[in-house]
Amino acid sequence: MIFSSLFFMFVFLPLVLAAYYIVPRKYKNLCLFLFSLVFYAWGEPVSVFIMLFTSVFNFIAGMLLDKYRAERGRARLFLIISICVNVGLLGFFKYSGMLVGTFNAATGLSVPMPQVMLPIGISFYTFEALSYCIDVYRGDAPIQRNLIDFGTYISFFPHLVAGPIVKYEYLADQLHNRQETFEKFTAGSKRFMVGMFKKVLIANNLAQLADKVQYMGSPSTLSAWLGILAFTFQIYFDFSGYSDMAIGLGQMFGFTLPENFNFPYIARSVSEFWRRWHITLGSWFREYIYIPLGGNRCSTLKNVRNLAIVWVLTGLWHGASWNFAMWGAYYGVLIICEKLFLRKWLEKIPVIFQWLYSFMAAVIGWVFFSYLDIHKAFGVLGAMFGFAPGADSLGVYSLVTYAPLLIVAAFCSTPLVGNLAEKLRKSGIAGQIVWCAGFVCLFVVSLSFLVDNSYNPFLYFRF
Amino acid sequence: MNIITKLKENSKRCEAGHVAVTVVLFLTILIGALTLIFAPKQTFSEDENRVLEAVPQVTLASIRDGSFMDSIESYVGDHFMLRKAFISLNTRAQLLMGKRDLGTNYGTTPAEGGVYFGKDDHIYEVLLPNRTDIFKDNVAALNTFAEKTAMPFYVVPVPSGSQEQPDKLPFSAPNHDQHEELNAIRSAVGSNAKVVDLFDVLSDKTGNDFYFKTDHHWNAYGAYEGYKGLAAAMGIIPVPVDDFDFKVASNAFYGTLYSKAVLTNQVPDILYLPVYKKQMTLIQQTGKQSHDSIYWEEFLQKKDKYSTFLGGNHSVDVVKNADVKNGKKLLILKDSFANSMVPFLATNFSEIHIIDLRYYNQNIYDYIQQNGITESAAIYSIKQLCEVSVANKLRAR
Repeated sequence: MIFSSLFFMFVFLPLVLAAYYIVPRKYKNLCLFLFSLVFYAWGEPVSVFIMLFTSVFNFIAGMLLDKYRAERGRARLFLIISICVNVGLLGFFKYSGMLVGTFNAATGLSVPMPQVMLPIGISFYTFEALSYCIDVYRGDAPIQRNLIDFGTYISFFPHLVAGPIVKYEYLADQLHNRQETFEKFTAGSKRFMVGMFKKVLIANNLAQLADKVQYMGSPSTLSAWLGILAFTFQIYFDFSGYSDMAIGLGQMFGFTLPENFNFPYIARSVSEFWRRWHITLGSWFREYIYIPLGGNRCSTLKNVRNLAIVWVLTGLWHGASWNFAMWGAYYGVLIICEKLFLRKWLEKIPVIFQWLYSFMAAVIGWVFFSYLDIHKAFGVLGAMFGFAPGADSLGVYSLVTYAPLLIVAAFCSTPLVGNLAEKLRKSGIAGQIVWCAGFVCLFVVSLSFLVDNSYNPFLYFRF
Repeated sequence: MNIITKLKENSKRCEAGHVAVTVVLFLTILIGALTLIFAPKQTFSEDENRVLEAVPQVTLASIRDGSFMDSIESYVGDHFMLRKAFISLNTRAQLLMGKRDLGTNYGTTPAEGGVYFGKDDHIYEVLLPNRTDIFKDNVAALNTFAEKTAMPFYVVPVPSGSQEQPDKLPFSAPNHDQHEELNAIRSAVGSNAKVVDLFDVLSDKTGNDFYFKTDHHWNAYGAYEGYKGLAAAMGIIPVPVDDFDFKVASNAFYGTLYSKAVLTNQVPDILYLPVYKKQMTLIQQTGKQSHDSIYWEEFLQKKDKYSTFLGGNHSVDVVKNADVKNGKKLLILKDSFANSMVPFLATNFSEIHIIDLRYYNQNIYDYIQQNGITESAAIYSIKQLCEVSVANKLRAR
């Protein structure tokens, strides 16, 4: 089930909200847990058991980690086992096809491809489960003694299939002591609607252009640029819109979920881009891999190694295909360069060029991300930089028909539009009325896209 | 008491704008949910010409394979309040965004190109290059058919409106050139069949519009051009166009392309039915039913008025003309484009056996033997050949 669907909005959401606010406090988490299971099972009923296994397994692992806290060696053993099981599950369901495929390609053998279906969201909840075990092991978070509460943490439907990745430590207290307020509820509703606008009005429409250029193949320079710019904004508005909806839904139930995006396309360096893009993933890798490896408090050589490991893993997290590893490695190289010397150079050039460098780095990165076939990715890169006819009818047509939307998307990806809207909303009665009217118009148009059953792709099925 | 004061305190901190949009959101949800539950349901959407989703049945199997979930999601969409108003609002919104094509979907196989808004109130199919083997397989199967039957065989690939009227497409609109398919058919069938090239005669460069504005089919005049081309290939003299009276059957025809791009101010099409001025006694047999006309006028009252020709697509139709005594029996393998050509062809053949392979599940070669077919033709729109596989039906034997 996806948030931007009529079924979610008009059937699931009212049911879960009604149930949640009717049941007594004691059963609220149980209510969320049950609805979350339905939400998850909706798309692929069988994989709900994998998630249940993850929940129960990590719950037990947490108990054992807590029990043997005093015996360092044993606790460590349990931690290693639990990490192996979690990573093993993720590896089996997500990467076995890729590994066999690569093995076959490398050796020329033809080992049969494993027919494994990737359970949706497994990368998200596995990382959350890992964060629980590690936090408990380190003593950073209290142990959870109630299976329902723990299950609620793992399966809570707003952040289940597309993040944000919530660390256990962050949510532990809210699982028991949270307050549902009107303030949170209304702010959450607004946030949910903003996310829906981003997804339905901008991302889904740009998806058609991005996909069209991919479908047609061998683009001209103009088409290549328009296609990849469309994807650049599509994935931002899709992903950040999804996070907005998740955070908004969380607020409706009294939760405060962490922010996931902070205007990544205004960053002035690649390192900064990654502090603004999918923030919860970056901080997960930082906390549970980069720092334990030694972070930057070690020799430069080791630091470079740590960065390389983290970035290839970050790439592979996004999908079991070598283009994602390449995409991660690309960022690894850029960030290592920035650490070593590039940052000093960047500081000397005008801000506009710092931004241009960072934005172009992201755009070129998306070429590797959006084309699963690396040869095609290089073909498109070549086309972008002049190794193709300058323009074709697809390019000109796309420019004419998508320029307005691309411009709107570009503005909306800066803080400018949001700030202006907030200013309007806070500028007296008239301003508020105009703001509300505009907001309701966007809502009605978004609904029209959902009713028309327009193109509504889900990007995270590979994650 | 305590709770109420707490709520009051609490609500004071809310932002007025947030409260307003929350109220709008949940009122909409409430009304939407109530209409879903209580409002009377349509079972058929005339505008889109399709059956709407029925209340899904809950079974363990349908839950396990997810069909229950798909079905209930479609149900919510199909019976949503103000559905038609929302859909036409959506068309408007997309046009306002600057878009000139609607309804693309690259997530399906084959991909759906959607429609272009063209000049002069014309809506056109967007033609995409092939990315599947469907076309290749279909054409190979037609060649197999030609080889196996070894009787005179004609292939009539019909280009789409957007192929024939490129100047009316939106500025710089990319469109796949169907000459590629025409040439592929020619080289695939070689000398086993005669391929009828209609690209020039159907073009708007002739000064005529041979296509509907709101429907993907050719109009009756276009069908006549198709008939003329086929007759020439067969070596028979076509009945002149003046021997037909083109009768206005409806001036409020909104076709299949309109269904993909519902707009309130769309100009409708006129549906002409060609009536032979001379003596002709036709009967159409469809299964066990028999019609004394090949125009099923009940469809004039419905949305899908093109189905007036032969009553739409059936697995087998037989049209017999008692006034033609030449004993020639033509077999047509076809999609709906052929339906409007039959009125013309009927003047030349004693019997026309019309088979739509999409719905036909018997052995075609047995059928030919049993019915004493003397020649055959495949009349297909090129787009259909690219999108729907009929190859396996021709392999049977």
